[in-house]
Amino acid sequence: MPRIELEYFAQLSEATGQRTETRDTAALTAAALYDELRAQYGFVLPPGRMRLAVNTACRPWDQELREGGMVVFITPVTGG
Amino acid sequence: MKEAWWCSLHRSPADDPVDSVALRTCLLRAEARGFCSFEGWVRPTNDSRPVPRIAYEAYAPLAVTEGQTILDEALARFHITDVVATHRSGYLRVGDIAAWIGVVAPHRNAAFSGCRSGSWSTMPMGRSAGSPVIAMNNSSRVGPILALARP
Repeated sequence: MPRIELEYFAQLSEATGQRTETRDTAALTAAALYDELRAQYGFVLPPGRMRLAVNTACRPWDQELREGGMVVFITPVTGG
Repeated sequence: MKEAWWCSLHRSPADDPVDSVALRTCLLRAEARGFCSFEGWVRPTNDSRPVPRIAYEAYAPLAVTEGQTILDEALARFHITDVVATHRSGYLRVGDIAAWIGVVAPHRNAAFSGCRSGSWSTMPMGRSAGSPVIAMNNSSRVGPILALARP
């Protein structure tokens, strides 16, 4: 079960009440991880409206998760 | 890696207001004969709702890779001498400069093209859902990259 580092921004940070999280997860992909988090924190945004960054590079949602990976979900930009 | 896209003169964090004069100074080159810039200002509405201010958050590490790619593309695609771009983070009020792009080139057409076309069209100015805002500035070469705005 890989241990993943997460950093939250914007509404995801508000939903989780935290900026960062270290998480042991059984999820095999970033998409599965997001589903897991969504079930816990009630994220409203669907993955299709976001981009994914793993280890500071943009990746597809089927990106496999590895021990120590840094995952960031990039929420949509609004306003401005 | 070209050093043109960062400027030692511009060391203020992205949380500070955009200093367009300092950024323009970064672009002064002997071989340049034209300068073109664009400023993106915070809008007063979003989806018809009033927006008194906006908060941009940044995921800085990704700025390095994404920002470098965009600037390399711009420099490769257009006959321009140099380019500097930045995007604010933090709280902005309506009318504040959220994004700034400046290009210098030997000729005006290249300066206009480099500023308004190509790579820059992939750089959302805070309104394109699902896309990152690329931001570049300050002494760490790249400041915020993903400006996650919320009204």
